Amino acid sequence: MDEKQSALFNRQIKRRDFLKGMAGAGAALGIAGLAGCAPPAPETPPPAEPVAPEPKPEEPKPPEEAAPISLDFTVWSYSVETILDNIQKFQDIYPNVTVNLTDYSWTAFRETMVNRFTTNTPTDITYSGGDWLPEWAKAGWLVPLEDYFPEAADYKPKIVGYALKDMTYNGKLYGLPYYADITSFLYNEEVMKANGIEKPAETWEELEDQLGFLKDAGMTTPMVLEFAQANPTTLENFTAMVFGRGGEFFNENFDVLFKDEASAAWKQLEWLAAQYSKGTIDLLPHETDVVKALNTGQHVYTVLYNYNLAELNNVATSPLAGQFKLALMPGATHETYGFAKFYSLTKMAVDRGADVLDACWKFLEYFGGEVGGEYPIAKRWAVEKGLGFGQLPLYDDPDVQASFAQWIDPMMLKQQAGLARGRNQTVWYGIWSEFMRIQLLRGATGEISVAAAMEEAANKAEELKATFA
Amino acid sequence: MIAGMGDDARPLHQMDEMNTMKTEHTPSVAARHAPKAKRFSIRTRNLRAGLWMITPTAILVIIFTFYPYFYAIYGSLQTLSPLLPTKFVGLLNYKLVAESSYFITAATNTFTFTIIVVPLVVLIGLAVASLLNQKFFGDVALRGILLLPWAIPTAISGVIWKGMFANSWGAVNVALYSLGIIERYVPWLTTTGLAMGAIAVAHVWTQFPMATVLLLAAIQSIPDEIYESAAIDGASTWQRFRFITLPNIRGMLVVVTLYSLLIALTAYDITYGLTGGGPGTSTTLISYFTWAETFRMLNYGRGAALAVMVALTSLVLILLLLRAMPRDALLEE
Repeated sequence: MDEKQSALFNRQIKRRDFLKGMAGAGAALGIAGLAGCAPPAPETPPPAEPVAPEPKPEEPKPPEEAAPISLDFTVWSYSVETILDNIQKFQDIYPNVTVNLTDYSWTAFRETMVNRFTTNTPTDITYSGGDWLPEWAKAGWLVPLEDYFPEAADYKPKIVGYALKDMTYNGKLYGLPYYADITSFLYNEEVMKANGIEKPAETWEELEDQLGFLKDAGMTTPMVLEFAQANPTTLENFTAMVFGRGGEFFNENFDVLFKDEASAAWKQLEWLAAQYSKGTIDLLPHETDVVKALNTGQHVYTVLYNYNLAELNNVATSPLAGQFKLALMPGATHETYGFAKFYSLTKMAVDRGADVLDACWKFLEYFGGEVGGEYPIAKRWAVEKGLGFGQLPLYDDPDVQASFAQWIDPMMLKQQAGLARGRNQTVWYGIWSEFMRIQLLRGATGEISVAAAMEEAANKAEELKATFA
Repeated sequence: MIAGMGDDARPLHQMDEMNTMKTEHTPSVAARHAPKAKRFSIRTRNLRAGLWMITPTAILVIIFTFYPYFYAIYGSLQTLSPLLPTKFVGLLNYKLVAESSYFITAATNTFTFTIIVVPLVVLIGLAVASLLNQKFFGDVALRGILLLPWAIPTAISGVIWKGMFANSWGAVNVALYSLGIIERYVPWLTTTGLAMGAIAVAHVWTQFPMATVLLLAAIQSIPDEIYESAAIDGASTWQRFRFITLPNIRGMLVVVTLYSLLIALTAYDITYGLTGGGPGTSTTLISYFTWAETFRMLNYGRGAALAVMVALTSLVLILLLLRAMPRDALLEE
């Protein structure tokens, strides 16, 4: 980043600005709460000054006679070489701790972990997500960090609102962030303008007009989406679209809100079905397919996890780097979905005793928390991979700021992140989400009507609510 | 049968004793009864030996075949989930599965997929086996190379074929467009009918090599003299194939067809890797539905019910196929 760019970034995105943005996210949650859509008991980050990182002594050294400890750590297969390197760095600091890494496909992670838990396959620390947390916590597979490490609660004020919401169950913190991000509305500015469109759509109706215009101009499918029944991200993408309209799937009592034709979810599925039938959107199985497709220059729009923009604008890997931009999620409120993926502690680790527990906390702090006044791993993910972060102090980090400015408009990111919110989750949400994805695909592709898809999804939610009552 | 025992399954020394007794014409009651008692003993010993010999295999079959099968049947009658208490529900799981529109879609897709791929695998396998039965330069190397698609893990094959059929950047579209055959890229993987065709092509590509190898082995076991005498009698190439090759490999054809049928009915990886079951659910096969119901929705009971239904359907199809085949076809192999 050159000096001019750096100065612009620093002027645009001071720490206080970011905190205001995050406070906005908290306020959004508060408003949602007033509307009857608030989460059970999440805490929002403080709107004022951040808690200054406490000065820490030099990196702790284990006593020489410390007994060797082995930890089993499970992740989904994203940048495993970076994870292994992070583990090596951790082991260099704590030579008595050995971390055994096992990675599984993202698309099969939940069911694999459920089987791992039910068969008592040794697992101490695992990646987790907000939609699985209630299920795994209720089953007793994951435990609240606060119950074993009271100091974990100190992190709450330092975590962005939607990330904290995802990591909280029954008012307790169950993890520290691996990363926290938003789902974004992205577009290829150059291709868009070359086809006679000056600015990205702000509403779904406007987007429909633009897609039709682009199709008529000869573009096969102007919009590509990561949308497949086997991919958990499908529902996240749909959620972001629904949030853009200001909608929600369930209220705080987990009553279904999408049975009504006027509901945001219903309207959004109708929109998708209409676009699919017109051939203006393509539904691809995975984000990597979408990124590849966008790099052909044959598409303009998509909705993806925000970190994909870093990949799209990476000059080293993307032939069209620099052409892709972030716009606010179309819809009345422009809200979007914010989430966290996090490191969580298992009951199996607790059962192994105090020494293992102590090693786990060291691991959790090193990977998701603060070490020597820094957040080394979260920062690394942000700088090297463009992953969002849940740790508020990282918004002030000059390295992170410089890195992000290379691939995203910081002001737009701030604006969209301020409008991001988490989802209401419950113990059966994971199961329902699997079912819902199928209905979304069937409805969007016209296999069944939107009404039938919504009815089936609603019936399933009600059945699960009754079953788990 | 041990030499010298004839129909009377008795050891030689007993036969000698009996002969001696017959010669002396003094067969005592005890002597008349003794051989009978020993014959029973030998049968018992044979039985015991047989039992000992099959015991290891039987144990493995019981543990790895019968137990899972009966546990699946038991599970299909329960509410089985890691998140809920187990409860007997009778045939409810079967009812809910059968009523599910998703099941009907998946079953229809599986049937369509099977109907398309099984004949193709067998016919292409037969054609390539006939070709490879000829002597030509590089034929041995070609036989080895031919097995590669089958040896590649199916999930990897899915990725390879995604590179071929991908809508925006796939080799097929690029080639067709470059040749001027299409004006716009064809969305092979995201158009309902085309996606099924794409997974069928990919599946056949992975499966026909095995069929080829099996059929080639059968073809090569036919004595050359038969072909030679037929050629002398003036039989054409087609007639030799029709009246010599086909009748002699029909047993293997049954085996290959059954094998292809079972592989198609349980196909999973290629679909998962190539289309993820989409667009919509148009390439969702019953195996994916079973997996999703079991592990994604954590409903092991309903998944078990599905598995039992698939197993029974497969069994019925196999029996129908066997019935349709010549009775002695399998015996020949």
